[in-house]
Amino acid sequence: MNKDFDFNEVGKRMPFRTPEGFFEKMQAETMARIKAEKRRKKLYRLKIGITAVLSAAAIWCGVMFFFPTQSSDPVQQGIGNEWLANVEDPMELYLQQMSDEELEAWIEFSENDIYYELMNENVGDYEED
Amino acid sequence: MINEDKIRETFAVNPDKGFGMLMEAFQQPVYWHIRRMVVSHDDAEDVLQETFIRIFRYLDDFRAESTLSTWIYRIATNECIRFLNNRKEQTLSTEEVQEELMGKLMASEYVDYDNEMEVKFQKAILTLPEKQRIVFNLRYYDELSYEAISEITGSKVETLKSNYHFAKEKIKDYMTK
Repeated sequence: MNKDFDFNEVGKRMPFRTPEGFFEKMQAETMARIKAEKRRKKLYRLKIGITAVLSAAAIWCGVMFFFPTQSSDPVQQGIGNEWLANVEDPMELYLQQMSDEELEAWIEFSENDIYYELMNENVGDYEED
Repeated sequence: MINEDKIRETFAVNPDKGFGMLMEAFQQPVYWHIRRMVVSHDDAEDVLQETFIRIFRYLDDFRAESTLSTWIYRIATNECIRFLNNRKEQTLSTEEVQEELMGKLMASEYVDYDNEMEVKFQKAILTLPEKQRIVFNLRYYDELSYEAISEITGSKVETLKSNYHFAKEKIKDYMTK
């Protein structure tokens, strides 16, 4: 039964057809898609670059805000940044950052009558409560 | 005769021009290989475009361990398998996919039904299991060597020879029914 069929009767002919101009159109469409993909890739790389630069700038600003560079004042230069990690009280932090001259001025002001008056007023308020 | 070295050299200097040459040389044989596998023209068009997009993406990585044409056929065959597997994932069994392909063959705008024997021959090919169908098409239509088909499919040459033999026997049976 098998011997009756000869492959040469069909050969490589196929019943399939394609629309007119299909291969030309396909080549143009594929090239267009590839160009679009290349553009997308370029844009993506640009986006990544910009994001990296902006992130680095944001981190730098953050560092500068929370850990300002040491003053050129030789007195302040003596104070390391290590203590910053241990200081919790903002008042204490403020006092520690003051120069000797500023501290002296602040002590002078605290010995002033107006200071005492202000302090007493506050104490009085609490006592009344 | 396709000059694969020339295509690769041109691609290295001018990717668009090199790729244009590659498409010019391989577009038609690869389309017909895909068309025989997925049957419908519309599906073949989609698979062909995906194939060439992949070729473009990875052509830089091609290291000439095989010929360019074998590499291209491997990508095209994998794309066909991916396409057919996607159909299976959409709750279709292997038999249902086979029936679907047969249906597409019998109701397509781009099939010439005047020659009954040619149509019947394609139907006979569609009755083959997927692996045998790939081997038969690559050997019979594209006249690739068993070694090349082995690189494309990852199967041993002896297995391929036996696949081709059984495929031919099944087709003969179908054609003489």
